[in-house]
Amino acid sequence: MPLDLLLEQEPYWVSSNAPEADLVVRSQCSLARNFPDYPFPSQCTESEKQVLEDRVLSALDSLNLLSAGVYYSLPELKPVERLLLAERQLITQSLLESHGPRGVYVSNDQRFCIMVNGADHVCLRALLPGLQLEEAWAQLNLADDTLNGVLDFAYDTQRGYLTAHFDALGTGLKASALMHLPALEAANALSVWAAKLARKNQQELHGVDLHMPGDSEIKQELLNESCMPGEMEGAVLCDPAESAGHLRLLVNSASLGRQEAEIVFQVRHVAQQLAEAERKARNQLSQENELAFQDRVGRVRGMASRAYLLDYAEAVRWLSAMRLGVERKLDNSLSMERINRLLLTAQPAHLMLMREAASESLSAARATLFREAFDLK
Amino acid sequence: MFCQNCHKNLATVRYAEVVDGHVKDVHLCPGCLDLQRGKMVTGFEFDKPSTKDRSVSEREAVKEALRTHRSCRVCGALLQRLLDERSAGCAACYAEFAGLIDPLLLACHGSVHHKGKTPHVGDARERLRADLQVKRSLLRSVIQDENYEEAALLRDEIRCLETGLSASESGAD
Ligand SMILES: [Zn+2]
Ligand SMILES: [Zn+2]
Repeated sequence: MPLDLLLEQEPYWVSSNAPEADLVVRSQCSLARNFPDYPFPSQCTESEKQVLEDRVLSALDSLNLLSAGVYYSLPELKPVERLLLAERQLITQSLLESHGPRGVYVSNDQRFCIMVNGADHVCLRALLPGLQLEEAWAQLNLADDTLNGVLDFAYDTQRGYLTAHFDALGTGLKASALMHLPALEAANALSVWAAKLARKNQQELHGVDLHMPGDSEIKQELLNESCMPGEMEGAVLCDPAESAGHLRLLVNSASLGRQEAEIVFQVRHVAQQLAEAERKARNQLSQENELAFQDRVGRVRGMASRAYLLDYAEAVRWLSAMRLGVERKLDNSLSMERINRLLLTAQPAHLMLMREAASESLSAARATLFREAFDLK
Repeated sequence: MFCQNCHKNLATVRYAEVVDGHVKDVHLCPGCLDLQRGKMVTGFEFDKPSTKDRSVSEREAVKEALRTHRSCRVCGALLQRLLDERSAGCAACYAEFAGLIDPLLLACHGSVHHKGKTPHVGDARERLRADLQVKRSLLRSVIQDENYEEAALLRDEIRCLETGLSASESGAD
């Protein structure tokens, strides 16, 4: 099967051996680039997209990158296989949903990928565990320089790199941190943070809508070859007040008018401030009611070991409680790495491809996955 | 060069008019060209009220319609689409609609001036390359319009630029 390599190897970000990994699930930087001599992919014909795909592939070949990774041509994959790439954040929603020649180059360790013919002709992305935005940017910067040696990108001295969407114009850079902020949410402090960031107009705090299609809907959704509505930075975003599993995505809103290093620094800086505030709020809560924490984590472990039907939203809520349990050292048998792995493998396409679950019995397959992981022996 | 009628938009066409027996060349933007052509046709209608009778708001509405019905010469994307979806059809859209989308860019980024990294090329080469980018895009559009004379000229210019570029590249090494 074409995705064998991906299924065998876990993405690098699942590992929790990284700074702030207890509060930051992963860091991600994306860099949009386009060719000057063709319209952006949404305006391209299929044959034009083919020319562009060939151009990128021959560049990757000439740079010897194809030996360090694999290029997946999306039209050659089944819908469920494409969905798996999206669940791993290796392709964006727009790449998943568009048509014609398009694909993604994925490095063997899945830390780095190059999307072709999504919203932009080329989009480089780096994914790392914990809070490592500078490291992710350094990797993208190097890859961009390397590609620039063999490819010309659309650039204007005033507007910078020209991108399909206005919101990535200039640097083409989106830097984001996926954060776990249950105590700030409990203290109703997140809307205050979101408003504060919106006023400064540099970063945005989004909720992450894990509205996976209901397990009964998934078959239809897969046939439609689309799964989730509108997306940016690989996650479906929603109002920060209503987010699944206390997860929030912090991302730069401005990409024009500041240097890349400055953008990355500022997102990292705000992420650290959020992390500090979250820790304070957790200390406060546990001082007030340590037993409530223990109760929540214990109950969730119990349910996880005995459930027979489990939808993804509930699974994410359980994993949120367990994540808190690990950080508060309430349960030594758990680890962030196991939690990250379940966050990944409990998704529909992962269940279908890794556990051969049928699309109409995903809840049952997910519950089995959890029972096996948390069996009380 | 700016449109000689509205003095606001980029002129994209040369419009020839016969005035008092002399051919007069006017550089116009697509919006004003439509307006000119409209005049010619309606000139034969007797009962059409003159533009002077129109209310100011009506004229504003017409202006707005012309503004948003403009499309990119290179990719054909409508200005309205750019404004609604906050996305461009091609790299040339940004130059094509520069003044018109700046307020949106400013609201989104708080700036309209790039400060980040630049492609790795020397200054002279960068200019050549930028020139080449524009010419290639234009070539594509004139071929679509089946304007083969213009295309032949552009091809010659592109060949010239490419030679210059490769000469400067081998000189740089
Ligand atoms: Zn005009
Ligand atoms: Zn255009």
